[in-house]
Amino acid sequence: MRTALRAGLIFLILNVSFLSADQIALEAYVSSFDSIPLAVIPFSTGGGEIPLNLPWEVMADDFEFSNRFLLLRAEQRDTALFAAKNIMLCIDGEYALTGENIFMTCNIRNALTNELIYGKMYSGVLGDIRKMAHNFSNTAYELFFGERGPFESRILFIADKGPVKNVFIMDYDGRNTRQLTHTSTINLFPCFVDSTAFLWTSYLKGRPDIFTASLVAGSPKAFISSRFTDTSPAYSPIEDKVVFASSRNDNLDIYICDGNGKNLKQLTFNKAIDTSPCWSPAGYLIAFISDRTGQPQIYLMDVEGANVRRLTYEGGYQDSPAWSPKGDKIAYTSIRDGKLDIWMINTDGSNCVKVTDIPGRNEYPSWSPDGSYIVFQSTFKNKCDLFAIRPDGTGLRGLSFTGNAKMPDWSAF
Amino acid sequence: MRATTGSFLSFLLLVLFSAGCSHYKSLKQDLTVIKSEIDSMKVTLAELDERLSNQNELTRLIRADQQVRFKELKEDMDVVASNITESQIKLSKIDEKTQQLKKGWEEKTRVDSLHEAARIAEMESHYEVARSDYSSGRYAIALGGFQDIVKRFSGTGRAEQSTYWIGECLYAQKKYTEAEESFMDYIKHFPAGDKVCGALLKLGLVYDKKKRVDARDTVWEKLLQQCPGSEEALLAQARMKGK
Repeated sequence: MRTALRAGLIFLILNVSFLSADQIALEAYVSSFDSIPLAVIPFSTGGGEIPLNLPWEVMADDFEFSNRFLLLRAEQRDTALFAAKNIMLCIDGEYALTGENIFMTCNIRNALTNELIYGKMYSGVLGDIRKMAHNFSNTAYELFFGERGPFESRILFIADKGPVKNVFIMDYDGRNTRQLTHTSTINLFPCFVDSTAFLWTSYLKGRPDIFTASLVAGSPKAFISSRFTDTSPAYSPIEDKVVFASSRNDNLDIYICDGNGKNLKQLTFNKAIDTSPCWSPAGYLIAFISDRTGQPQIYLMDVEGANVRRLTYEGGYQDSPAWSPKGDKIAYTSIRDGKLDIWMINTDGSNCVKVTDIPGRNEYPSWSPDGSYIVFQSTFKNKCDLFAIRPDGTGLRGLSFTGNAKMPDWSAF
Repeated sequence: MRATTGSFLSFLLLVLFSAGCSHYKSLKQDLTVIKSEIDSMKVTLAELDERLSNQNELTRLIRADQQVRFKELKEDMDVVASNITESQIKLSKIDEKTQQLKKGWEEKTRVDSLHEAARIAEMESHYEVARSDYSSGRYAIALGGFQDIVKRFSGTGRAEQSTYWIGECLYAQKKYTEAEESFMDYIKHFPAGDKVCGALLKLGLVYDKKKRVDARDTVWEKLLQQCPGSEEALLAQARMKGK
């Protein structure tokens, strides 16, 4: 029973009926303000006390991270305070804890009248309390802004221990870290396939090949393997295609294959080094790095390898392009004045701006699913860790603190 | 002594007398001549008076005539001055009209120039937006933008390029039949266009998607002939070899 509960988190929607007036009021509210004033109130208990990971605190952290709320962490309902701070919405709830099992109700209410706007009920085990809280944060975020929040997203990354590098996964907020590969070799460039699998480059066979494995369990399985270098995979869920760099034609070029590793096609035929491909969110364009003009620069091409055009002209070295979820920007690593930093450019080549303005080597950007943050590896605090920053260069926050995390891939999965 | 003196005086008087008589005759003759000359001169003077009188009359007549002529000349000059003034006024008006026309022409030129510049700027802006939409994966919106450019800015380089990108937008949306028409349209109308290699490649890829291998190979053979060594030709060669 417990296993069953753990395996299947039951999400029950308690109340999904909306009054049209409420909806209209919400839409008008959203269109009038950049940030929504919102209060989060500690949940009341119907039995037992949650020892860790208080769900209302998790939700408040989520909303704060999104930077789209004027958040008040209230100690209790205080309509006078809410009115004074122009807070019209609040989140509250209640829970009942029986052993490891928890039953929780989360609500969005009119902060002044206490009228219920939306409610959702969760039932599961205590270990899933953060998942439940993140799920409700996403639900609320979608109600307020019409798009899914990043609060249930996860980040793949590499953590090294001496010469050994393995793939790990963590929640978007740096919690719930888990090791995915357990090899004694080098593993690099992890990328999500979907919510169940991932691809990465591994030296398991003594040379760089592309492997796939389950996110839950399972041993690595060769995906693209040859006597040449096969590296930097990127998966497109739109087309169920994988692009990667391979040296099977003497030098590194970009190749594409189906999601099952078949139907391999070469996309670039240049004598220069072409590598680090990444997909546009629509799954038709590919950004990649090429030194065909002498220095590594970002190029764009379509999925057939046609219409190749150079995107970047500034800086002598560019690497690891990452396409924004909205498709209009590309973040990448660039060396300027001898320093590695994260830069960003519009896909039409305009508005090239520096994102990170902090000490250390800042590289390997990856966008959050909603485009509100960019995760990257940095030696900002001497050792290499993962940090998140908003595209406008604000909101820097650490996500890992082990001093050995790098090459992040942030995904909605 | 006294007698000697008297004799001397008498002799002197006689000499003097003789000399005086002789001088008198000479004087008388001179006087006659002078009288004659005076008479002659009187005649001459009379003639001169007459001539002077005639001359004066002539001068008077000439003056009168000159006065008349001056008067006429003045009148003529007045007419000329009037004409000049009139001409000046006319010239002034002509100049004014010319200035107006010039201003109008300059304004028209400026407006035309501005209009053309605005038109070009508008076209470039539309093109950039459409390209940006394409790069951002908004293919349906980009398609509308490129179609608008072809319609509104026909005959321009951007219209030519947009014709190609219409095909690309359709291809990206997997609307292969429409993409085929669009790429064929480009190849037909712009056989020497910048994007003809790309259009031939994509047309072949459309046939490849439609499993029309013969049509694909025909188009790609043309691509290899027309664009040897191009990236499109390399791609087509690789695809024909099954790579």
